[in-house]
Amino acid sequence: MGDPNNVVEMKSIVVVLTGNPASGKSTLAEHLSEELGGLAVLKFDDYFDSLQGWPNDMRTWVNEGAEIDEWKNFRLTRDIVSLINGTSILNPTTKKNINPSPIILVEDPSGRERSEMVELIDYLIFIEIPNEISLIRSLTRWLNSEKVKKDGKRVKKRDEDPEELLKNMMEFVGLYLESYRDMYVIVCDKVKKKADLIIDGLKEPKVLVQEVLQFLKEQNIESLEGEK
Amino acid sequence: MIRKRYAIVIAGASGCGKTALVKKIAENIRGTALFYDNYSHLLKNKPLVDDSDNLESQMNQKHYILSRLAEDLKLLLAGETIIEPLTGEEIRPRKYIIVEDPHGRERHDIGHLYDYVVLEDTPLEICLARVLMRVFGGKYFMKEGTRELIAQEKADPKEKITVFEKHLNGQYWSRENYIIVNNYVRKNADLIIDGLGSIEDIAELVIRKFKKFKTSITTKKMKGESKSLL
Repeated sequence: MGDPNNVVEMKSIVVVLTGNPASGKSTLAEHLSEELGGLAVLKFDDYFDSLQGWPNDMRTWVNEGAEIDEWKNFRLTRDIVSLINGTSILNPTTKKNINPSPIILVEDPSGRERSEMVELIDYLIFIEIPNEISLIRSLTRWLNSEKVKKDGKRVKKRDEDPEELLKNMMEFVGLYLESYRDMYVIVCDKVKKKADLIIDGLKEPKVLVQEVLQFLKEQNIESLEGEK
Repeated sequence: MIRKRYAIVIAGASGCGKTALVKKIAENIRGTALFYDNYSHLLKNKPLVDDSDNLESQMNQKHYILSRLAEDLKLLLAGETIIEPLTGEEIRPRKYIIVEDPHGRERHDIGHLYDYVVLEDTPLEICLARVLMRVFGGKYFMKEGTRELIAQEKADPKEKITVFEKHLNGQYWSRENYIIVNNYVRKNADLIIDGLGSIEDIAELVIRKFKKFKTSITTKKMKGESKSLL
């Protein structure tokens, strides 16, 4: 108080959205961004190329205690820091520009389990859905996914090459039974324990948005004041 | 004196591992295996899987009733040989009849015949993944709406995609349905297991628990008899 060196700065708040695959992280991020007049949204999946330490043998990794901190993604952390410091960044997958905003949303399934992220996270929100719904939604999404043909036309994979699509999906189902299901269960369990807010992903997106906005309001975040 | 026979039932969702468990237990205790699925083609109307609200009454309506299964079980328990309707195979009665029945004690025509009901409450995501492996990962694919098997690679991929989708949207595999049915079955089950781990371990556990149960009812009966003598 009263220290002249204490420069008051509007520091961005980092909110991490986490939960099972297809729990609705992206949808929630979109709605929140819309509601708060456009936010920076970073997705773990868009940084897959710079991800290090992803297990080659998932079964062994799970059996050996599922050490999530082995996953490193320095590019993602660097980009979050840049945004906090007010510098725009480039989404490595879409190559789109992402501008700083008072709240930075990060979709990251590892929550506070990776040491490089812990310091950066202000709030962790866990979206909870039953495991079978996660599997059903993921496969349904995959089943109806599109690909871009050479001539730039978008086609549904199920119309273009149903055989290949089925083969890929079944390969995943095999892996899911072999190890990925256990990985999701263990990771979610660990991540959820350190969440600041747990919301029910089966509720309507617009209800969830209101719950998150209410939560953020209760935190008395300065940069949010005067938003409305 | 008629030799007492026991009906041990394995219930649970599609993909929970009922069939494998019934076979394993039957093998381990030299019992007779009886499968609901080998009778379900006799159902006059297919169960309305998307009508979860009415499931309780549905389970006891005629389209869920498999009187032939109840009749055959009665015969087996009385020591008679039966002919299994789907395969035409002769099934001989043994001391233990292991029955696969997704509805446990909840169907009134047959529930009272069951001595010991086990609910295999396997996590539903594992059930679904196993069902998908069974339908699409095996050597053969069953043509939709038939029991006709064709080589997996000869099946029409578009049809396969449609069948795959029906497993996700509740038509062929319905989580809502299994949750409701399991909630009913759970109330009147003698043992609930999670269906995880090796089949050998699960079978061994069920047999051990059943034997304990059998001893306890025999002791109770003996105690009751000695009381009535006093």
